[in-house]
Amino acid sequence: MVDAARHPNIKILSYAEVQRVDGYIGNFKVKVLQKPRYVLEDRCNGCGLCAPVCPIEVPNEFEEGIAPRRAIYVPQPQAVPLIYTIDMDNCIECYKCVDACGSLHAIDFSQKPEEIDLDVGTIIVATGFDIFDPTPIEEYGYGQYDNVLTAIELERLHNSAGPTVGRLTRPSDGQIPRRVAFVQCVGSRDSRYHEYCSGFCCMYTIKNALVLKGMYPDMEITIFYIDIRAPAKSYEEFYQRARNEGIRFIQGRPAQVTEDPDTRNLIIEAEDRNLGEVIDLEAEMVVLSTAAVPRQGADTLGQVLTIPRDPSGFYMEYHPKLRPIDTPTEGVFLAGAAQGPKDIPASVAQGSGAAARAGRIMAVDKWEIEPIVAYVWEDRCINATGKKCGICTTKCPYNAITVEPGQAAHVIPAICHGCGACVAECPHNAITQMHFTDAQIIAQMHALLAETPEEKVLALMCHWCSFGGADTAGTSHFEYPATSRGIRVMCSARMDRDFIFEAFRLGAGMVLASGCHQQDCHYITGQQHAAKRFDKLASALEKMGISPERFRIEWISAAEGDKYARVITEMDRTLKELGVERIKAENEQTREKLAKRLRRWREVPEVAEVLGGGDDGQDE
Amino acid sequence: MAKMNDFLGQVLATRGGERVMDCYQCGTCSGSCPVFTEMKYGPRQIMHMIHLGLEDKVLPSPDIWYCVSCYSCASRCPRGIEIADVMAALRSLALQKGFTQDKEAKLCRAFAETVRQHGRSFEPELLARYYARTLDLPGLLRQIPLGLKMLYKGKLPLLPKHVENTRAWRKIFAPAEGKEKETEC
Repeated sequence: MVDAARHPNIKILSYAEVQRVDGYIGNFKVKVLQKPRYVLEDRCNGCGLCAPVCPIEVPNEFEEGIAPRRAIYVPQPQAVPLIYTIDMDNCIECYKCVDACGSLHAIDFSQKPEEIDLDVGTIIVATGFDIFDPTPIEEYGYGQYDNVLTAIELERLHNSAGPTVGRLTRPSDGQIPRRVAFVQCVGSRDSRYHEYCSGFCCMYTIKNALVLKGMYPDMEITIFYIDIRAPAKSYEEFYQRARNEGIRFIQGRPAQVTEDPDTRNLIIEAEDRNLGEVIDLEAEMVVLSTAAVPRQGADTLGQVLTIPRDPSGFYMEYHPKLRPIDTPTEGVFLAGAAQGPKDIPASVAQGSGAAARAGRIMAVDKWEIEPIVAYVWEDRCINATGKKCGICTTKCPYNAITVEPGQAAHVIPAICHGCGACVAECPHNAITQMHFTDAQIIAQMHALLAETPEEKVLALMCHWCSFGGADTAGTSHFEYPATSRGIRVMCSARMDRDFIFEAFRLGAGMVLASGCHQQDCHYITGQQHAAKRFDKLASALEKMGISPERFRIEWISAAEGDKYARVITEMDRTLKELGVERIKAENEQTREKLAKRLRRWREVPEVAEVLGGGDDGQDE
Repeated sequence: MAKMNDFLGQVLATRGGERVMDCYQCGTCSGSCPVFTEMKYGPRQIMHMIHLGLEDKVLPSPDIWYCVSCYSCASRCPRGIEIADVMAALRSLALQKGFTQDKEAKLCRAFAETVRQHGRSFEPELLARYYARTLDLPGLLRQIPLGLKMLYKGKLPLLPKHVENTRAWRKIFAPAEGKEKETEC
């Protein structure tokens, strides 16, 4: 951190908040609010003469409230930058600090918040995590009993730079405890609070236990655990060392902790699973290994940066396996526990990775993107005529489309990922996707259904999952009927309702719309748009006269080759059960109704050209 | 979904049993259970045996009858499993499948019948019904000193007291009687 502060190309803005981020990869404009410190950064040398004269004492956040701090303070002695800050909520403006500062004249009570505009090429989000407050888990007594602590409080109590100068004392009486119990998985792996495993608590608990054992060899230390998770390099050996040094491990999650009011000792009731008995263990101090939780304010920052959060509230990576550092917003990267609970080695590794990912972009003048972005025909956009529309912006998972009143929608190509949700949803067919235009897709459909369409199963597939699933079916030699014909688009969100209508108008026997499972969607919300769009389509088709079983929606992952083969086989069977004659009759009867549905599409010259000819030329 | 044994499938289909698969064997339930020492296995092991499909161990076990429905297990379960409801469902399954020979099951049924009769418990009748089922004459004789003591202190009524509104009471019992003759108690 000190090196970072000294580096000529690194500028640290601490005590500041990101307010707004505009622009795109390579061209971000960031608005930062620098909060007033009331201490001038260029004058304060961190000598610390001001703090002792301050008459105000408030709980020190860094010490988990165990020790006090003054109203003029640094968060901790090793803080970078080492500049004092006046906490105006508690300052009484006695100006004693001003006198202590003397000729440095570093204190300035007239400082105002300042807005800073930054032009940056890339952004790395490393906002870390918070610690779960175990107060709601009443059976563990945190907040009721003084000698029940969280692990981070214990961390401060045995730290030689901490408030007790490294002497572990019980909050109730200041004595050194002889029996300490640790409780694992407090608030994590718990469907009432946080479902996920916090990952690093097992290791820090073992570390704390060994530290205490080193300081007080006679101390009886017990760790209550459900499962010990020690999977990384040398972790298992560390765990084994703790067992060898006499730390007791009891498998069983404590049911409750109660206090003996006379001794202020704690009684832990738990089932020792390996004994099959319920035990009462008396300890003088209980330490709760609390869950790592998303940072407060993570939601606001996520909105500012257009990066989604996973169900547990941590920032979501672009892809869990293949792009674990990138975010869905190009040029924004994740490092450390902001993405999910992580220990120090993993955070350092991800930080280095994020720096390298960003460096790749910073090193070049031009950045190439996939040419499959959306494109607006300005003359067709209804918003340009003064009518309010803006449907496309609400469907874009990346905020890549801006709509100003009276102007055509505008796509920022550098932000667009090419899912095609806007294209499929635009009621006026005013947007298209390069290399996946309506005309191109319809042309494919016409070619695939040119002969005996009523005997064919037409499958619309998304690039990432169901197309991969079809591929897996092929490479794994899963057999399925040869009647299927596939069309690939980038995302199920690109699948226009009109594609289905057109396929049936052309006489297709069966139509399958397929894409990723919701949690696998490669375009954040693409699959959800598709699922919503197709939800009632089968019944709409039925009203027109098409048997509802002829249209099917399936979410198939790239690994589910067997599922792809099964779905096609089932659809082929359904087709044969219905019979070609019935399908032909249905098609005959609905062709005109379907053609009417496609009337608006015909207004697009490019599309009309592909649609035209044959029996579909006339509408009315 | 993993292949399930029949018994697990039956438990999953009960009210409260929907989430038994979520159990990760932490032991919070057994540690919380006030009657754990009376039990043979305890709720955690019962969950495990349900997963394994050990119907012939679970249903005849006294544990399901010892459960006092205090719900400590369910309120503390980090997996959100309604363990006390699972216990009730197991009692129901045990009766349906004819596991009615344990003395715990017999006591429960004797109690249910007594309460159905009067709307509240009536100890002499409960004893009569229970010992009639178990045919445990020495057991009944052993109760006599306690019975006399209770009688002396006025704790043992000689005639049953009925609830005031018997019609309303019957209404409460009716759905359970209609549904299944062999209900849980």
